[in-house]
Amino acid sequence: MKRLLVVLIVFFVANGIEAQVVNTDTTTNAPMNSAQNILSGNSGKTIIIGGYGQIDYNQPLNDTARANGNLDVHRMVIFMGYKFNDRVQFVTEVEFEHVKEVYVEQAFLNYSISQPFNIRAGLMLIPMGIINEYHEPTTFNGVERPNIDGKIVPTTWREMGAGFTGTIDNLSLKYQAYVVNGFLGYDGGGVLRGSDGFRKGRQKGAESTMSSPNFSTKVDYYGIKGLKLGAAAYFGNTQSKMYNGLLDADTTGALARADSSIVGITMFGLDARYQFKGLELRAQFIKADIANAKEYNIFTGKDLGSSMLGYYGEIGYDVLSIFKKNAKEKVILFGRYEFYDTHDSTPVDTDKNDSYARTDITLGITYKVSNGAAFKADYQLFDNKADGNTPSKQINFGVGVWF
Amino acid sequence: MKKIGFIVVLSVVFFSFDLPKGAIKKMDKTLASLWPEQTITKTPINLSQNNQNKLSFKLNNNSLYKVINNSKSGAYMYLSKSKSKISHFDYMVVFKPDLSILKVRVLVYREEYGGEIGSKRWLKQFVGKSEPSEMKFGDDIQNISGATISARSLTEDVRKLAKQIKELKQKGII
Repeated sequence: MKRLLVVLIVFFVANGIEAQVVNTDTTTNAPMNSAQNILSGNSGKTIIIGGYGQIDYNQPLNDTARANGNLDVHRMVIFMGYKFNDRVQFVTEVEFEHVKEVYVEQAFLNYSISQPFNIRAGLMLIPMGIINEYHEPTTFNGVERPNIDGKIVPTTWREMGAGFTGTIDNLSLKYQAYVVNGFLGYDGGGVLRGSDGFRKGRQKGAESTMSSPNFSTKVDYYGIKGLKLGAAAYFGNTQSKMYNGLLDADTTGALARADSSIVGITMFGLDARYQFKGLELRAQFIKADIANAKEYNIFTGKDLGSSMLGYYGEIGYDVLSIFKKNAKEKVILFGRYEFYDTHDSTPVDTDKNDSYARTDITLGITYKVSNGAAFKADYQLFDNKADGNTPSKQINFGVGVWF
Repeated sequence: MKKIGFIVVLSVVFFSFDLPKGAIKKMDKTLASLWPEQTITKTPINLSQNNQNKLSFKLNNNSLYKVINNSKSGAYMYLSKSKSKISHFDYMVVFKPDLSILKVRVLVYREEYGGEIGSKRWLKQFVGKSEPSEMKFGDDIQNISGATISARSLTEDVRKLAKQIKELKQKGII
């Protein structure tokens, strides 16, 4: 066993595998960084492995009936990066969801022409809101991601595509602009619906169908200390399998039917994150307009809304920082208020479902035992605008790691 | 007639530090902006084995420079590397003669993730500080959301350099 370990270590070292250093100790003066980095940095080719995991226990609370809990290794993700040289990197994340489903969450090649100008292509995260791009469980409060980032922004939302990204130091700006594939709205039947909008339309880069390209862009501003502001936009039509093989000069009505199998998406997002000593604030606003929803619903029998809207605000405070100035751990108490309505408006002939106008309140604690490891616990209250609805309650416990 | 500015940076050394050309240019431009219209000379401080033995850390050759402007004994410049999420980046720190920080600048950033730390406004947080205890990450030096790994590692490394340069001074090496 020992020998095997030695062989493995030698193998890893020989192949230049280097652990990703996330947790730099804030007090130690171990000669780890500058000198060693200089040595390791110039080796040229490097493989980096990392990962993150989210392990959850959800327990609905019911005053009158028994409710089963749910224990889940929700996400276990292996991150691998390969640096071909200083300009060329390949990044991939392989995800095991609920233990048994395997997905590729990201797989793209990044070619850095200069810092303000990188070319990127492959399977990429769509920059919209906070969580979709920064979804590692130690970076957000709460056992589960905010529900807006699920029902409206269908995290983890990734698409095949290509584009440009970069940071401009003088302006403290970061931009991203990609041409990507879009949601598959029709696959022999309609898949987009009122309860969770585009979520079922995600193609996840698996033999995905494209009938028209989409456009995704985001700009982040970080010129004010502790504050990061983001503005994102996403445009395009959903994809449909009905177009394939249709003549441009179609006279049979097939083209008109195909046109009813797609919707047009215009999504805007604003987000803000602020940190000041122990205080953490976050807010996000998302609005999605859906064109052609009337025709889509008539054609497919679905109940997709013609617009969706959601926002949340969160406040957190590291209470440990009050008592212990140099604490390595963090005990963050937080509260989050979310409102999201996937039937913000509905087309004619589609009834507005008030139960899709939802309010979630989450109160909880994040105990960060290290920069990359946290225990989490929270209490959630789910309410909606439907007549006679009684709010449901749930408690969650979880473990989040990122390395 | 307009007076034409006289800005010269003399690169006395061969950069074994392996900085790309663009980064060397950026470094020279940064020095020139600190002392406009002056002649700036930078000379590496490479230690004898004897001096090296006195130190609690290893000072690599061509990582610390004495920067002289208009023949006045000037400042010190550190060239160093720090870790980002999947790569490393090069940066420079200029210390005044009193060892307080005059400038921190990221010279080469090699990945898209975390590139926010190149922000000049963010890096200004270090200016004027000299004690490592004044540069506590998340407290004195505020984080940038979404660039935490790079922001933290740069902060830790700059603290280390501040500590090192103090030791060099205390032991009479610089």
